Amino acid sequence: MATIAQLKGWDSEEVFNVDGEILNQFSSIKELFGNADASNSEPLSLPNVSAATFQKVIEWCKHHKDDPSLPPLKCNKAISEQIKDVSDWDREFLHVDQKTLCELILAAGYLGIDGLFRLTCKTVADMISGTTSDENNFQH
Amino acid sequence: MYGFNGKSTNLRLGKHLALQHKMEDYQSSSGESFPFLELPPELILRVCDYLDSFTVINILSKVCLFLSDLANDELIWKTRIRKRWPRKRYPAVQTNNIDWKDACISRESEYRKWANPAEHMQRKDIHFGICIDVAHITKNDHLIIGLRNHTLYNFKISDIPMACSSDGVAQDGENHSIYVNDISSKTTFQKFAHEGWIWAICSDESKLCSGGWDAKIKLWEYSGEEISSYKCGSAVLCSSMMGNEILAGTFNKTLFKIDSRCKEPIASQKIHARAVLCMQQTKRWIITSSESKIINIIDRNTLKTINTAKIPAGYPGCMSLVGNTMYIGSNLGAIYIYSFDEQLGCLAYIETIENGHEKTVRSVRQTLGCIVTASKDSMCKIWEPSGTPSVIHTLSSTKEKDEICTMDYRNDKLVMGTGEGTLSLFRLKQTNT
Repeated sequence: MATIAQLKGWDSEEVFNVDGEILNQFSSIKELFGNADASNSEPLSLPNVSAATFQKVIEWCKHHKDDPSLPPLKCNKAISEQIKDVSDWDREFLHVDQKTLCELILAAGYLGIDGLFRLTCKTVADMISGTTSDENNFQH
Repeated sequence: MYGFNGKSTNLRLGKHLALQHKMEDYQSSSGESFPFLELPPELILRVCDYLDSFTVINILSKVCLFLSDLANDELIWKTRIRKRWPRKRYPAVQTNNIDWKDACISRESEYRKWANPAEHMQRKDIHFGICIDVAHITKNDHLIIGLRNHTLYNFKISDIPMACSSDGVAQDGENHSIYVNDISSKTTFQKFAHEGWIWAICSDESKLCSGGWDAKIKLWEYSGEEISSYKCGSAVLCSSMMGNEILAGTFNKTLFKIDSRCKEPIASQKIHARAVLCMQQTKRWIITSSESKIINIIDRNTLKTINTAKIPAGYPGCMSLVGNTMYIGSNLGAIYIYSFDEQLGCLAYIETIENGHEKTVRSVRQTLGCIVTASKDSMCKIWEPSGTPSVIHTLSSTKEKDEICTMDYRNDKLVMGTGEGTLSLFRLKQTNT
C-alpha cells in the first residue's frame, strides 16, 4: 500500500513511511492526513513517541492490522477481567523492560491505538498488583 | 516532553509538579526510577482502571505523595462506581456522608465475590439435625447459634474446618458437609441455655446476649459462663445491644431497657398493640416493628414513641439500618427501601424492590457493597446496593423447600440456618499466593 504519511519520533530524524492500513489504527491522528499522497510534504514529528518506541508500535500494528475492531468495554464487569486472552505473540512482544512498556503506553495513548493501549495498561497493572502469572510466562 | 492532551493536561501537571519533584528526589536518592510514575496523570489513572480499587487505595497510595493524592480524590471513586454500574441510583438513599473510597472498594469486592462465588467463596454445611432459630456473627468472628432444643453454640469461625477442594460452592455435596459432632470439641455450648426456644442473639466485643421464649435475657461471657439473667415477662423476640445497654422487645408488646450493671431491667414500656418483632437502634432512636404492622420510632431516653410508619402491605419481619438507609423485609416476602432521618426521627418510603421473595423474609443485612436477604422460600439473595437493585447471586439451602430461618452477614462471612437444622457457612477462599 502507498505511503500516505511520513512520521518521525521526537528524538531522531529517522522518517517512518506509514501506509493506510497502519495509519487507520492511529485513531487520534489519522484524520490529519487525507488520502492525498504525503510523500512530498514535511515529515511530522510526534511529540510523545521516540523513534525506538515508534518502531515497536509499527511492529505491533502490522501484526494486528487484520484484527476485528475491539468490542467496547462493558460496564458491570471489572475491566481487568475483560482482557484475558493475551496471545503468545503479544506476550513475547511485551517482554520488555518497564521503561519501554511505559513509553508504549504513552505512545498508544497518544496515537489512540486502543488495542495496544489496553494491552499495555493491563500488563503494567498486573505487574503492580503482583499477578505473577504473566510475568512468569515472560521469564520462560 | 510529556504534554499529552493540550492545555488541561499541562494545568494538571503543574498542580502535581511539586509532588513530582519530590518523587524525583526519591528516585535519584534510591538510584532507581519507576518509569510508571513518569507517565502523565491521566494515563496513570487509566492504568489504575485495570487495578482493583483496594490495591490503588491501600497499596499504591503508599508509594508516593502523588499517588496518595490521586487515591484520595473522592471524585475518582465516585466516577468509577458510576461508570461500572451506570443508570442506577447509588447509594439507594441519598446521603452526604458517604466515603466513596470505601464504597468503591466494598462494591467491587462484593461484586467480585458474589458474581462468581465458585471461584472466591467456600461453603461448609454443618448438620445439627434440629431447627436453627437464630445465627449471629460477632464482631470478632465468633458464630453464635441458638437451636430449637434450647442449646446455644459458640464457635470461633476460624476453628471450623473448611473443605480445601477447588470446586467450591458450585458443587456443594457430601464432602462439604459435616455433622456437628465432628466439630463439637471446638465449641463452647450450653445445653439448656434457656428453658424455651432461643429467639434473639446480640453481642459486643466482651459479651453475648441471648433472649428466649422463657421470657429471659441472659448475658454470657465468650467462654460460656453466665453473667446474669433478666426477666422480661414474656417471650423475648428481638434484642439489641449498645455499650452497657441492652434492649429487648417481647411478645407481650413491651420494650425492655436493661443495664448490664443492674440486676433488674431499668425501664419498660408497652409500645405496640401486638408482639414486637424486630428492632434497630441509633444514637438517639430505637426503631421497633410489630405484628400490628406499625413501625415505631422511639426516643431512647424516654421510651416515648415520637413517630410511626407503615409498610405498604403485611408486617415488617426484619430490618437493617446503616446510616440513613433502612431495608425492611415483610412477612409477604417484599423488601422495602426507606430513608431514615436521624434529626427528626422519621422514616420515609423510597421504593419496593421488585421480585423480592415468595415467602416471609427472615433476615436482611446491608453493606456498602451489597444487600443480603434470606427468606422462608429457601433462597438467600445477594442484591446490588443501588436503587431498583438486581440480584447478583442467589444461594439456596441444601435441601429443596428447607426454609431458611435465620441469616447473618458480617466481615465477609455469610451464615444461614434452616428449619431442618443445616447451617451453611460461606467465607472467602484462602489463597496461598
